[in-house]
Amino acid sequence: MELIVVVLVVGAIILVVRSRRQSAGVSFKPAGAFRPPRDLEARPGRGASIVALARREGALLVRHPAFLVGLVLFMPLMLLIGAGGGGNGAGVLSQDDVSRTLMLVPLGWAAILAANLCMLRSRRYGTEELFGGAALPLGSRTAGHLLACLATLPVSIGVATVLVVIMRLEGWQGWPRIEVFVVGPLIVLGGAVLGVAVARWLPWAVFGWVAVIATFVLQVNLGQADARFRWLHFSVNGNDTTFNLPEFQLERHGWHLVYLIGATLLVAAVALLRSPPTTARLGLLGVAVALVALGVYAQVQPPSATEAEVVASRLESPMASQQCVELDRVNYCSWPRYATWREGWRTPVQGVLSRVPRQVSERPGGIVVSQRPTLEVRSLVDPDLRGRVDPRLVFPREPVVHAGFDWTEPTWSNQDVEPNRDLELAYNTALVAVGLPDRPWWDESTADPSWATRKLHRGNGGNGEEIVLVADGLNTCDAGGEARVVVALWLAGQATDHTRQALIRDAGQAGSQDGDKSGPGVADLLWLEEYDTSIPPVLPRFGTVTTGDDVQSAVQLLALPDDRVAEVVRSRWNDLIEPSTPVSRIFELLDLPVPASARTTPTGLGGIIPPGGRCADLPAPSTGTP
Amino acid sequence: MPDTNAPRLDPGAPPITRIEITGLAKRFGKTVALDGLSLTLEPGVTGLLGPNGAGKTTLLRILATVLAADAGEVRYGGQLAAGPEALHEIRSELGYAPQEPGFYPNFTVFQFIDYLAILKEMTDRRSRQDEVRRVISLVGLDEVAGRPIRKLSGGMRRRTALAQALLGNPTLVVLDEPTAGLDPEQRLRFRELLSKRSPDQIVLLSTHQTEDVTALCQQVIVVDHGRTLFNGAPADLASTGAGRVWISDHAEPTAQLSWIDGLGRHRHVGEPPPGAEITEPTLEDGYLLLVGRHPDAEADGGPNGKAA
Repeated sequence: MELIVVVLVVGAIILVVRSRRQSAGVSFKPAGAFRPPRDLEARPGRGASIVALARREGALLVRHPAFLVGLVLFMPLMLLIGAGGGGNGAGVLSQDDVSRTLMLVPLGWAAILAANLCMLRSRRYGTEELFGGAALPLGSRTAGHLLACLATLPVSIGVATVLVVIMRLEGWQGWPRIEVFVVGPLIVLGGAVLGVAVARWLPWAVFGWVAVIATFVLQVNLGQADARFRWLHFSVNGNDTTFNLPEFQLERHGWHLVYLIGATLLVAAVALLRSPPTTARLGLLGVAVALVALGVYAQVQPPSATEAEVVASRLESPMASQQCVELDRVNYCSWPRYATWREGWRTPVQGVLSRVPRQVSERPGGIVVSQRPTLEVRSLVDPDLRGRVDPRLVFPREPVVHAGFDWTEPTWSNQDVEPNRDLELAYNTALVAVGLPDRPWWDESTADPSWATRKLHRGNGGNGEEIVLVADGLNTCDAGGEARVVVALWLAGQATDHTRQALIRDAGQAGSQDGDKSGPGVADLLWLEEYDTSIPPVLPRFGTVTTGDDVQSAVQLLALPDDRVAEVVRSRWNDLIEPSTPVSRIFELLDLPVPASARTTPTGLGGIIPPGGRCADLPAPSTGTP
Repeated sequence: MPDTNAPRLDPGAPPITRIEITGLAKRFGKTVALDGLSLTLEPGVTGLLGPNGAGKTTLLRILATVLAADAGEVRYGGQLAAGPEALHEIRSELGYAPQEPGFYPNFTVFQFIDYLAILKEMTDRRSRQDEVRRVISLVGLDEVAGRPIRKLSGGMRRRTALAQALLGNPTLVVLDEPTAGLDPEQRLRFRELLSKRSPDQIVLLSTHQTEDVTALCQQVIVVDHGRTLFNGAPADLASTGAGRVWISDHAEPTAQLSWIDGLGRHRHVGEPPPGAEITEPTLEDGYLLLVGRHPDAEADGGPNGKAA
């Protein structure tokens, strides 16, 4: 929206300047400009003539003020946004390349305006009569302008390359997929072609702006009805793919390229058919329609048996396709593109395991940290595929420390985010260590085979009720008041300097919103602020929810010397991880007065995420705790 | 144009050796611009005279193939301007400078003419730019070739338009008021330029300057109300005034037109009274007798207007 405002403001400035120049008598358009009628078009000119014109117009296009404004005004901003989030080698280019194509969309808008104004130049300055007597007819001039749009490619490829270089310098790993990388430049090219077509059919500059807005609306709204139609976007990245999980999505970027090329050719053919149809023009139209039809058909097809098998395998048996590395007796497993993350996981995980008894950290079979599908995968997986996958296998209760896919995210600054990512992994490790589930699991009793989300109503401090979307069939448990959840919070907090800062910083947000920290509260350290119900949906991130009081208790423990707490944790481990042990017991063992926040009995209040049974009532996972 | 070695626009296109216009008619709503006009153009310079609104520009536009006639036909060396292929061939042999050509203000003179050269399908960059330099030199714009058109005077822009019409040494050159806005020196230069044209070129120019016609044209055509009033040699047009132009020391109410000449004497055209001092008629006199108005007068300004 901000971009639209800027585009409109820049456009208004250009119009005002232009009108002032004209009122000052600087207009070069003759008062009685004559335009030759369209039925006097000569046969198309020679290809060499069209190419010569394209060369000239191409140079004018990429130096057009509208294009330069797009390049100078938007691209630095886009590069800044696009390059963020890759610090510490945690960003993976091949994971986020799809969203990065969007960075070139503003340049595509600029290309629409610039190409539109270039095509309208002869009309604007009244040279149509002069040009009409030349051998190259308007149709061929249009072809020249369309070919000139190719001049945007070196610029947009350059911008995209600079983005990749900056991202690499920022610490991003890997390379973008080539079939995704070229989408950005293609969008810019398509924008320019659209600008020419609009100029031919609606030869007033205002329609260039209309085209900009129309493409924005289409990009936002196409494919909202069905996730599979997201491929019909110019950039395939739609709202539902904010979380890029390429492992679980159908990879149809090649077909998307065919679709984009076809759409660009289609727009070009429409532009050319403003002039009398010729065999070549009709042929281009036919090829374009065929490519678009083929691209659309191939993109929206249900997954093939092979595709379904591959994705289903990644969902149901993730480790079968993961690569693992053993570091300090912990097995770190990830899909190949996230290989560099495994080393990064080591610090927070070891920070936790170094404080637990050896029988826990060196359990038979070892500790396994493995990437697992996060809940967002439910809205990403193709609907047909979703029905074929067994959710019990996708979301089992298992003694595996779950690592996610968004260890880092693009932000203005990594400083506020990365510590939380470490905290999430440390907390997961600690939860598994104390025998609590670290992520939601499939619950047959509330299951819906469609994996549908469920709408709940929830009070919002007397401001009426807000709708919260909750993952149906996914279970969490409430460990409010249990000593082990506070131990887990403390273990996570002390794991690294970052996790300590993050937990202390976010602790104030934990709990219910009215300030009563004893109420059902934090379930999600990472997205605490999202428990403001004005920002739905709320999906459970952790398998264990607890109370704000428990977080406060953990923060109080963090204020003590780590070794002192660690000694008690190690020596009284079995007592502390007993579900019936209340939080107050920790402070008693430390010979400290029991603070008001520390419960004397486990409450199991029931988290805000239904069904929210007590963790204490849960049977152990089938394969036992680590 | 004077350089017969200049590259042809399209060597494949047949040269236009003769223009035959038959029964040409064009209406704009209720206004009749051309009313069954017929004439023939041969190689040489032909001047087109007529009051404003007489149909000159309409005729030139039709000849330049940027406007279609309602009726009648134009044959370019026997070829009708019918169909895309014929239009392409004719335009390949055409140099056209409209009355108000329009310019790209931010282009330099060189860039603008080079752009036109591209539109005239001169694809080889080196020879095209040589040709652009040639025509710029022809019209005397060498010194301002790198200057943006927005910074040029009106006369320089007119010469820019003329220069592009000369690109490629076309066999048909259509110029709509090419000397309007030119100062006397530039007009002389223009005459010099046209006098060096190729002998096989057909040049048709409309003008209000009868001196230009006298100086340049082998053929003059006078049109009014969309019809041909005269088609012949300039001398023949002048000779139509033989015995119908006289001078006196006083006004003559019976004269068709009267004005005071540079010597302070009254010059009259029309039917002279007995005993009048008959003088040698000029082309302008012949034109005035034919049309009854000065070339700058409006076509519908009323017949027999008096010029003081």
